Amino acid sequence: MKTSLPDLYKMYEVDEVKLDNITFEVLKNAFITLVDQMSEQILRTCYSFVIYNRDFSCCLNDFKGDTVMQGSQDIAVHVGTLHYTAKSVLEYFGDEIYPGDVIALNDPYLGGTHFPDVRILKPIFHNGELIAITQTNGHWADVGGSVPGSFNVLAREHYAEGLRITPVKIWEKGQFRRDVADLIVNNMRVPQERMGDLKAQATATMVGEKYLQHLIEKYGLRTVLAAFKASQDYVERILRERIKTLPKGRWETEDYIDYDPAGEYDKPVRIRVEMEISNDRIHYDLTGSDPYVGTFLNGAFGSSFSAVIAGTKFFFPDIPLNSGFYRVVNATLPENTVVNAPWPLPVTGFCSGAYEKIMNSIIELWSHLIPDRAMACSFNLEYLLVGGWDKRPGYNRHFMWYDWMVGGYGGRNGLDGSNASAPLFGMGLSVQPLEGQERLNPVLTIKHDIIPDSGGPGKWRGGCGVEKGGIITAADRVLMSYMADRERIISWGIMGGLPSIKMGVKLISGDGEKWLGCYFSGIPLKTGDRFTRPSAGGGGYGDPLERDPKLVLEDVIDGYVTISRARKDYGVVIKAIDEELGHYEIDYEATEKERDFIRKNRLSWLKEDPEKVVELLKRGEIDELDAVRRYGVIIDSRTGKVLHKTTEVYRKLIFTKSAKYWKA
Amino acid sequence: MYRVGVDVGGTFTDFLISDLETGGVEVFKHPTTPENPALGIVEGLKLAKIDFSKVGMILVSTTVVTNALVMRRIPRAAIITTRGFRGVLEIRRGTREDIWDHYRDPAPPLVKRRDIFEVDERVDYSGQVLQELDGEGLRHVCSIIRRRGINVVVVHFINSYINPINEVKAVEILKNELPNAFISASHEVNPEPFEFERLSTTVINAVSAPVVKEFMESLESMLAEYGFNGSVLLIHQGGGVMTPNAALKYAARLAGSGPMAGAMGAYSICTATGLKNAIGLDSGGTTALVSLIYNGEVRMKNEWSITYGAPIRMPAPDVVTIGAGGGSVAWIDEAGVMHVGPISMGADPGPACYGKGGREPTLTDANVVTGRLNPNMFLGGRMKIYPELGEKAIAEKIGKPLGLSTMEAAEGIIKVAVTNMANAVRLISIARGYDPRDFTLVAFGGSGPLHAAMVARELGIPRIAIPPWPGITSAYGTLTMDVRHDILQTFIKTLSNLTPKDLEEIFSSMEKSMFDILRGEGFKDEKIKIRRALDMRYFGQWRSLTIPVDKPVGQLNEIAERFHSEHEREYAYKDPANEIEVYACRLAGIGVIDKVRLPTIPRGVDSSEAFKGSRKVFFQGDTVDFKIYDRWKLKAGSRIAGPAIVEQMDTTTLIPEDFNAWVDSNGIIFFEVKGQ
Repeated sequence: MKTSLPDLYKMYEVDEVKLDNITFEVLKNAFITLVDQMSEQILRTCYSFVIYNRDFSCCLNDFKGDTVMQGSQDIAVHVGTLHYTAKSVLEYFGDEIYPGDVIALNDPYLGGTHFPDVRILKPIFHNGELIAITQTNGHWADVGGSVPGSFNVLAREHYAEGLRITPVKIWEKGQFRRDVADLIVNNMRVPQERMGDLKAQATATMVGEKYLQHLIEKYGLRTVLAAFKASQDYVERILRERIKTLPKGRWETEDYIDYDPAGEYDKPVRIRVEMEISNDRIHYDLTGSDPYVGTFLNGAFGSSFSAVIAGTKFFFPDIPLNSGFYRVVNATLPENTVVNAPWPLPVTGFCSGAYEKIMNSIIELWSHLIPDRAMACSFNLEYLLVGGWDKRPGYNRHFMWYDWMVGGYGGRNGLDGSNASAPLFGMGLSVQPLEGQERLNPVLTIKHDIIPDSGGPGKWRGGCGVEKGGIITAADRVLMSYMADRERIISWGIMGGLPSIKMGVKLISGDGEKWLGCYFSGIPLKTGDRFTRPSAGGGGYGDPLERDPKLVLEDVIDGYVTISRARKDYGVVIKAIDEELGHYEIDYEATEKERDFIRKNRLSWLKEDPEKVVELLKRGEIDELDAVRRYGVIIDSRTGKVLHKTTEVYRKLIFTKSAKYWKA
Repeated sequence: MYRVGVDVGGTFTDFLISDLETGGVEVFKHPTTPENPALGIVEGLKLAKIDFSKVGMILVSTTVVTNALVMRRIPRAAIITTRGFRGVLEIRRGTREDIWDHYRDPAPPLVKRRDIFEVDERVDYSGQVLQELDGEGLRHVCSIIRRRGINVVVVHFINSYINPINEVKAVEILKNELPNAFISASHEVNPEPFEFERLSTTVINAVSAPVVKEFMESLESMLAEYGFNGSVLLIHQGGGVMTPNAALKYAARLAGSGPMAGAMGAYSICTATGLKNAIGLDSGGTTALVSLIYNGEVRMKNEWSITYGAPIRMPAPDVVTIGAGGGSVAWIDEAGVMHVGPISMGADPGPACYGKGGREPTLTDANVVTGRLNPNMFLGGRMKIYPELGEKAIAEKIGKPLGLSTMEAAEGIIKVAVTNMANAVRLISIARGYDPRDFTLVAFGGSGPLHAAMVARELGIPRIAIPPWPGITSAYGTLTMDVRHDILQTFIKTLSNLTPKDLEEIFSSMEKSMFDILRGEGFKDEKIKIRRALDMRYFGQWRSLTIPVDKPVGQLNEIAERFHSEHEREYAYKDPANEIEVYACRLAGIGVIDKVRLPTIPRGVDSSEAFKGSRKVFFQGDTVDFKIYDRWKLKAGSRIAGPAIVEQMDTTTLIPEDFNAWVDSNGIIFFEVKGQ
């Protein structure tokens, strides 16, 4: 059905409204407050811990569906997609939207991100005319499908991922449709919680509506409409002004997903990003990215566009986000590629797949243009889901230990990367307290700590990653699933910086230790089994041989870097004088020699025959980190064999992003 | 005998000395001595020329802990924690204050990783000990701490909130091994789940204790030198005062001096006048703090922070702070839109019109240029003001670029600042389920009374109250406080699995220890008041609401009813079909102190004695004649019709044409929209 809604901006001749500067600032701030009020409401009443830990967003859309204002603390991944959702709802229902309607959907093929992101929209009417929409998007802890938490790496089509909610009215003309709501939540695990989320989000849209009506009462509809448009024009104008000061031209880079679990084992999946800055716009072209993959690592159009916007936004942190931004920044996302997969391909894992590859590529490109905000590659988003039947004394119920970690950000220009920070995908996404998790689940956390040497070495070190693991204490029918990436295309450095460490899960059971890697679903666990995994650190920024030895010394004292890696990665030779007192010393003479030695050899190490490197490793002459950081060789953690194609790709990647900046 | 209220601020220390025999009051300011704030207090008191031996009680509100934490002038501390969890303090929750600014990091942890040690021990979620404390390992850690010369030690074990046994054992060992150290155990400071928040609170508490100790030792010895032998009480963020001894144990409660000062001003006016609902607007040079009092109680929150990423889980006033004060700078961005704040010129160089080299147009400049502020009345006329410099700054930086006259630009600056303040009020009232129309706006601080009427108009707040000394409201506020202790016991169970008796047992045992504390501080039983509350939530929810409960614990369905209706007020909906879960029992113990009353002022309906003339003010796009009054010549019962301006040394009150004002017996100015 096509929409026949009138263009209110034309009808009310808002361009004729002389919206004075002061009234505009007042209304713009009022829109920010409106969205903040909605966020506050959700945060205080939601049931999903995922939402509670801030995986949600709120916005105000105009009658066209364009975004007027989005929350300042919103999760990155929803940025740049909410207007698509609003537009698709308007198009879907057309004339059949009424006052008192509340609409839900989670459809990634209609501009959404993935099924767990459920969007609730309230069309707002004034004198019978649809004038705006308030929208909330929350990540529900489960939306059905064959695995708890709805992340299913085995899905080859979306049907196995979870419930697809095409636009549907939960309230119609003010009447709550219990039948529809029940159908939705009863296809998900823990239906009463999902109903709680649904109502929390719906109430938030109503809170937003109430304030908007108040503004209309006070300032008049025409002025408010004028301010809708002016807010978007404002963002457009300010961004164009910034672009004027930038160099013009084309830049390109690429990054890779490790491999397609349904495809070739030793073949990284390429994502290519070209950026063009012309006089007043930024255009990204992702042509040259590989065809879509068979598993859920694909991005759909909406989420890939979001990655483009979010990556760009890092360089303009103070500019508010609304559709004015999207008038200046746009993207070509070729169809049938890994960055724009069509229905019915699975896309739920886009966030650990295509999404952050696009973001890190864009941050890398901008790092050359605005060096004051430069940052190397950060750790990859990861979700670990352990679900089953809780059999602790007094318990007999379904449980889901749904966990995500913080990790290291890339090294920066003049600053080390942030240790232990929320993923780029959602910088506001906070980690859960393990004491809370232990109450709710039969999983005992065995570790939550920072990992030494996980930050990619550089003149400015990448931030450190974190290790977290657990043991199943008393449970039945337990399945574990995981989605992450960068076991092979390890978080890279820029401007001479070195890579971090690989990601992936390790299982320790009666049968010994087993490497499970970054993508798996439905691995059975039993009581007593242990698992653990690192989050990577960030890549380094700048040549580690140029790092001030005193900073390396401080890192050693605090245990961020070990003495042995201080020598191998930074060429800084440190002696322990009295470890108990934290007393260490730099041997400057030895340091100079060590640095000379590394400087002379490092380019040839990157060309060493990978098979020889494996030999060195087997003989214990080098360790796993040396293989990656010195030789750029990627070895299969399961077999111990070289992944030749991956190594070729990775060596090229670290050369172009980083090694070519080394001074002889 | 005298009672003294002292508020140590960043620039000035404010004093209010009450003569308990005559009821007379003396109010003054003295510069703060940041290096040792105790010195400024004693110097100020000396100026008052009172006999120190006749001072019975001094109540002090101080920023000494807040400043130490912000400036990180804190002692080196060590943490001892469960093996595997050395990173908890640094990992935090991993979030960032500005999610789009990857160059803006949270403040680094207060304890460096090098000083965090692990020992073997483990307790599970149910309190069962999975692994006994490794005493040998702990003694070895103690020897390292001793060698490093660290005197502040935090003990933090996983799940200690449910069973502190291993922490208790560790503290015993530490007391033997490190007899001179400050030892803070997480189960004592904050017995609540969530390891990071408990650790953060405990660390802040531990590093603050030596700061309090040093301050109190210095203050008490100097006071004693001058013959003082009364008692000193310290204002804490929980809405009360505490003894120096209690402050050593719960030093982090002094960290909230900022929000407390903001709330206290409004609260004291409520107690003086019997107002039940008030919104406090405390606007000074750089910020505006907005607080809320509902049903006679300051709205509190159970977790807050001074710096992002370092939460303190102890009750503090729920205050919204924004960058809107007299020194807030007006500026234009690349797209030609004007903003006011959050950048501030502070007091030095200050607004352009101070003539101290400030070139940026500020809110104060706008108020001087439009005639709202009298340039001859700054610090009672002792400070010279250059209105032409303010005019120049506004004309050049705002007026010209926007194509506005200087007056229009100046008024625009005021309007934007007022909207920002109104939005802050909106967040603390409407966003939390309160209707501002049920409240009185209590405005204070240097620039609160100037903007109060416009803020009230924006939100439909019907009435405004201006305290007698808007610039020193906090010093007066200290004299309205009682001794207060808050304790908490985590207790997680659904209401349907509980009986009133279960709750009564917990509260009774908490009450018993509370009586011990207060009796030990010298309170007779009739001066002790106890307040009980339960933290509750719908089963499955993450945040809880604090609901007052009676003694003895009444019917549980009544408690449930209270929860439902409070949930509806706060969040706009209730869900009676859902289970309710109790999360914690809270108990406040109050030791009542006899209060100082606000002095009364002479009666007289005639305001003409206070009339100083009139002044042209550019107001709402027009030049309007405002009548000018001298605050200290106004009598109780005087009435003033807007447009009027009331001047006093530290504040100017603006009453627009649609408001009527009157003065009450304590000299508080009230004003209301005409015809209401």
